[in-house]
Amino acid sequence: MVKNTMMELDRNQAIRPPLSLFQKVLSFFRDVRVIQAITQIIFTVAFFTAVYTLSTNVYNSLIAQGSIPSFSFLSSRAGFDLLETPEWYSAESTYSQALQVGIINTLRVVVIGLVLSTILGVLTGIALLSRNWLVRNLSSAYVEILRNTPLLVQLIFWYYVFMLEVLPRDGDDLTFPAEGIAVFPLRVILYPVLWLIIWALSRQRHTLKGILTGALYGAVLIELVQLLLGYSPLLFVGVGLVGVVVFAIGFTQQKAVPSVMHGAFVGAGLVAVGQMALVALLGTLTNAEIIAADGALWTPVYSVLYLSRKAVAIPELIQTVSFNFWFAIVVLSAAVAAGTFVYFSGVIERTGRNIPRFLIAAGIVLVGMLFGWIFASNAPDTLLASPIWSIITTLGYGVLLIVVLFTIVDQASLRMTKGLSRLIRIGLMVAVVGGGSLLLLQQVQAVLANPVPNTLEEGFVLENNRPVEITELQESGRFLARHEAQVSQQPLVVGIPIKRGTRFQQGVTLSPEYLALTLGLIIYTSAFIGEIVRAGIQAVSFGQFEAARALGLNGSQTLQMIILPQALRVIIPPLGNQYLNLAKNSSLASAIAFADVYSIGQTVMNQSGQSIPGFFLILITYLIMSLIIALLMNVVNSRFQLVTR
Amino acid sequence: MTDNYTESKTAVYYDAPPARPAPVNQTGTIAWVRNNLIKTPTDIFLTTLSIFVVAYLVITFYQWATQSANWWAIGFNIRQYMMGGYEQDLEWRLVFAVVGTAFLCGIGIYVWLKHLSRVLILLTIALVVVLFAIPPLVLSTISLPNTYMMAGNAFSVGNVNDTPRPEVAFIAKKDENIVISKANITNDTELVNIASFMDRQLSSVRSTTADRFVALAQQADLQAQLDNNATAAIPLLTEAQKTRLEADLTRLNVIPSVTETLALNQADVTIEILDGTTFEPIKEAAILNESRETATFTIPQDGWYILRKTTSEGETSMSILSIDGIYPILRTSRLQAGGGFVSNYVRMTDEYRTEAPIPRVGGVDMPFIVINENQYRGDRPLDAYLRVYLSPFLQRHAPNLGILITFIALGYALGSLLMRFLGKKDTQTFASYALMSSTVLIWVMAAGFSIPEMLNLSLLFGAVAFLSVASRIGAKFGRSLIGFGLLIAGIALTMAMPFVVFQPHYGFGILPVVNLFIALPAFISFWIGTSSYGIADDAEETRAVIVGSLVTLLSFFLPLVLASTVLPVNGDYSSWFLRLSDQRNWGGFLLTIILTLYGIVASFPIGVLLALGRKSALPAVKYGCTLYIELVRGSPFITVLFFGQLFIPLIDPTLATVPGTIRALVATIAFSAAYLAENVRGGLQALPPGQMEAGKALGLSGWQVTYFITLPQALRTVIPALVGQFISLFKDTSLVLIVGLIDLTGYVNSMVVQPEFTGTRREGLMFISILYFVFSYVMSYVSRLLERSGSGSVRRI
Repeated sequence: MVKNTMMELDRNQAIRPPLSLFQKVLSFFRDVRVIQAITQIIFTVAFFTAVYTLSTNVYNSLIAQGSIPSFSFLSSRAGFDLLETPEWYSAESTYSQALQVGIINTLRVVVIGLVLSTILGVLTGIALLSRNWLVRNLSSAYVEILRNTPLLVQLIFWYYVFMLEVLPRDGDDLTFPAEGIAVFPLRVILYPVLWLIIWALSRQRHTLKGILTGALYGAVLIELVQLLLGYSPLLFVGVGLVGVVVFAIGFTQQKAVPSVMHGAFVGAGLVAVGQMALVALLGTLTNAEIIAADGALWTPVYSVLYLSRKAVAIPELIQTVSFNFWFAIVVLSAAVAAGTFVYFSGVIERTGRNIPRFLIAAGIVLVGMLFGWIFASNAPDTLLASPIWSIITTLGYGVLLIVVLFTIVDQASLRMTKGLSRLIRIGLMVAVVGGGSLLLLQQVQAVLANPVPNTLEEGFVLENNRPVEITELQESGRFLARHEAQVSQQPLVVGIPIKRGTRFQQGVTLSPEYLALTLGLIIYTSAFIGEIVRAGIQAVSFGQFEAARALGLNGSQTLQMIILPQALRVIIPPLGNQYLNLAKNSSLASAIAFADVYSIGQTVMNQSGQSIPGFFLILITYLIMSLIIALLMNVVNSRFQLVTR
Repeated sequence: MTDNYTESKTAVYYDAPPARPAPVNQTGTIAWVRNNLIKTPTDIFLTTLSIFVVAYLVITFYQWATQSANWWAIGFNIRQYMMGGYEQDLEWRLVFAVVGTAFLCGIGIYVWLKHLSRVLILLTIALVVVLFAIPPLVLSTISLPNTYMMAGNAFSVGNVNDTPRPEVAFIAKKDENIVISKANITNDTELVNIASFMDRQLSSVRSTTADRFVALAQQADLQAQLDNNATAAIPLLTEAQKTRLEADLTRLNVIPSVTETLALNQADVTIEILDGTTFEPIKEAAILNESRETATFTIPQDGWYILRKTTSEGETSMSILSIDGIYPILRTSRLQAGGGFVSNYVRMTDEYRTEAPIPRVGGVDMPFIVINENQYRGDRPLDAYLRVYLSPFLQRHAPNLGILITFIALGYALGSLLMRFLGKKDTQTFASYALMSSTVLIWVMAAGFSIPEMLNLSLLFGAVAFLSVASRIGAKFGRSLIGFGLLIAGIALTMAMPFVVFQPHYGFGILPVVNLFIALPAFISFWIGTSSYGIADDAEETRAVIVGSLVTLLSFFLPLVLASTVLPVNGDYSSWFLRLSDQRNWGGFLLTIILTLYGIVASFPIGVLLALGRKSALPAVKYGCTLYIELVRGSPFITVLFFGQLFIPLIDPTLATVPGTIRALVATIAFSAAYLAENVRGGLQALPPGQMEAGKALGLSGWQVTYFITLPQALRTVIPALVGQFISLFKDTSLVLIVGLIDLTGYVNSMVVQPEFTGTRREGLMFISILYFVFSYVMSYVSRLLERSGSGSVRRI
């Protein structure tokens, strides 16, 4: 026995002879972890060698050309002027200020573009799902044409063909609303009153729905007759007499008239007789000179929107002395509204009652704006001049920001650990409080450094920084909104564009380049968003809709509670992609001479000769913009995604 | 249901009731209209609105296209639109490439699109009819519109002070008749309604008359508005409006009738036609007056002639002549073979060209009927549109399109033959390879092919062959000393090839740079091969190793031996075999197609590798790939293009001469690869992990699982997203105009700058939009086909 086991031991040892050194080294290199480690080391070394070689080659080539890459050019004088700049930019500004102007212009395009293209895209998506065959196919053709043509071709069309050829020349501007007299005939008041009476009566008797329809047709016929034959009291007397006849037929001759039309005859007759009576009344009032001529009210209408090849002018809002006060009240009421929103959300979660928290919050903000306006327009000067209102505004912003951010970060569906979530909230609070304190300190310092300037004398306003008498301006017809803003006490004054010669004296002017770029981007992106919305709504199975109906939910409830949440799950990721595309497509501004960050960056690179630092700055700008949009869309997305294990 | 308690007195039908026609309201078209278009009041409103919108758009487009668009801008620039500045003597190569690709597409159409054959045949017949039947019909029945010219001494009307040219040069062919008469114009309305070619003076007179009518109408309108305002019960104008209207009315200046001011067509006009070289009249002068209305001249031979139209000195009346047979001329210049430019004159209506020199007077070129000044003005009637613009264009291009259709039909026939003899699967494989070879065909034909290219390619081919040999070496010898030894020897040979053998003779090319980086891929290939060590058939591996090594050595040495015995070393071989084309000249649609096609072909493998790298378990590889993908995806395309244009020459001094088109191509590939990587990553994530686990359970190694199991399924799933990315790439190639390359979109800007075609931007944009739309739509149709035939359509569970 012992001998056998000894032999087995020998055999075992014979099966596994000791390894030589070479075999030990080889088996080390056959270990998977060793191979992985070596591959990574080789890859990293190769990667960094390539990057190093490339960068040194590029650096040496640049030095050989005579330009040493550095960022010091940012503080040297720019020397070029731009068409669309804020007021603080001139040819004397530095390169870094020029780049700031570029960033501002890009943000103007991107922010407006994102908002409007979403709205237009949703409308396009709804049209693509319409039950009307013509609407559905036309919008499908519209979307296909937009998606299959390059964006650059569309932008060239919008700029060169639409803005520069189709829009009227400077001097023949299209204005909206067209300047003229707006006339409101008082007799039109009759219709809603009559319909309300009939509707109230029909709530108690069943057969009067036909009267409502008849009244509608009668009103349309009367207005057509007035349009075609003109206005005259005799005509209305005739119409009234016809109406009496029609009413009598409808009311008495039950057998001659089909039963479905009794109500229609009665309604049309009522409208005609009522019109005659009202016109007679208005005529006597006009003759007694109680109301304006011809039984109508009229008012001159001035244009608020001008469109031409040179610029598009829209009204501007000008702040007055009471603006800070009013805005502080608005911000406070918004903070209160946010608080009530959060409170009521908790109540809904706990008790399940259906409290309209959106309406309540919106109502609080609206009430705050209204009362704030009234207070601000009538407050004494000393109260308005105090700097405390801007401080309150800053505080209010801080509170709002904290509330909103906490609501977002608190979502359990973000799938972060409790510790990480707490850390983020503490970090946010520190950031907001720190930033807010810095702002507060800045305000207090500004107040202490510059005492409140002397207000102007009574009856004087500033023009070109010189005090001028109001009456002088009024007599020359030049009492414009800018001056009015210095005198009036309501928080905001609307300045509609006034054209004198070729320049606009007030109002915001938008250049055709900006409009072409924004319009082109919005229409292009909205086609893609329309397709995404359509796909999202069609992804919800029809059974959901049927089940909602079976539960007794009406149209808007179905949409809000069943269809939209499921559809949004499918819509939001590709929607985020389209937002990124819009932000990056704004760089095509250089093809139509709009000064966005890419084209200004190009100019800066060419003029200063510093191609690499300039290129780096442009790249960083776009990367940060893309990152912010992607982060926000991720947060929104995690709110809607299914929470799984 | 019968009732047990009462007897029913109702009639019982034992026969089926007689068949009645279906109610009209519920069936067929009327029911469809009722349900889809007018079901609710909102529907009625939307339908009416849509009909109005569609009618407005269609009518506006039709009116613009036939009445006022200048389609000669497209017709006379079509070569630049299609090819840019591609060398003229190499055009045949592009034609060959297009025709060859059409042939291969014909095979593909038979193999995959047979269900569309009825539609395609109808389309072909329609095209043939339109191209070959309509133009001759139009050309024979409708005659060209006349050219109108003014004759007389200096005149002044409105703001226009001008003098008609007494002598104008033109070109004509032998035996053509020139018929000149006085235009039948008696009042201003007829003057405004002239629509044809007219010289600059008549055009300004006509626009002055049109302005006069506009001013008259404005005057009447302003007066009517002010009168209405004065008499109405309520004011109709604001105060500002009233003052403005009154100022406009006083400022308005209505000139007296133009016909009377110029005393139109009341003078005698003397007409003569002189020969362009001898300045001798070809016939005696004709005088147009009350007794003689028309003058006819017959041209004796091809060449330049001069029209002399004069009135007597001191005559104040102006005349408008209607001339049949003289048409505007376009002047272009062509680079001559020996250097210098020669002017080329083209008569635009029938493209009669001549290079004969223009008559000179006093050392200066004579004024001739140049198209810049003699454009077609006025609202064009439909027959003029057909005769002047549409039919000549169709007739000129009909043979080309006919050849294209013939070759597609030939390919279709070949496809059916192959299907009969080879069977479905083999034919499909053949058709796939044939279509893939069209990419090589297009590049070789477009760019040219010469000895240095051939040698570069042979080195590259040798390197690739060596990769497959390395895997066979691994399979045969395993991870042993012999295996490693052979591998290292092979790597040394491949890396040394460019230096030892190639450089002394032909310089270092770009492609053999690959040979320098062969070490790592060869090692990976060897390692993959070793996983089959001991499993594979030994004899087959031996055969593979020997054959592979022979192929590698042949591809390294054979072309070099051939070239050095047949041709002397270091000569200029740029024109041997297929002359190289300067890629800086590429433009137009050629550039778009090259960027799209080779962007797709090259970025696809790179994108797949990036996606696999991003999924890798090794952190270095994973973060490297992620960094690249996120960096490129976060930048706009023109930033990447600009990066390519700027930095490729800086990387290495030898790359400074790389033409801009190649730099744009490299940037496009880098950009598209990142987006493709994301799409492929989506497909990889959608694959159930069970597939990979099953592969590992069967004993496949990591790379084998990826190649045989993961990639085929993942790629098939994302085909729609990939083709969508390809379509985006096709549209994004239009952005190269921002970095200075003139592609299809870029040429519109260049076309509008030419003085003959100013103001034709809309025509150019319409043309390129149609091209882009057609190609994109076809690509998305192919994508839908691929989607339907993919694995998703086969899966039954």
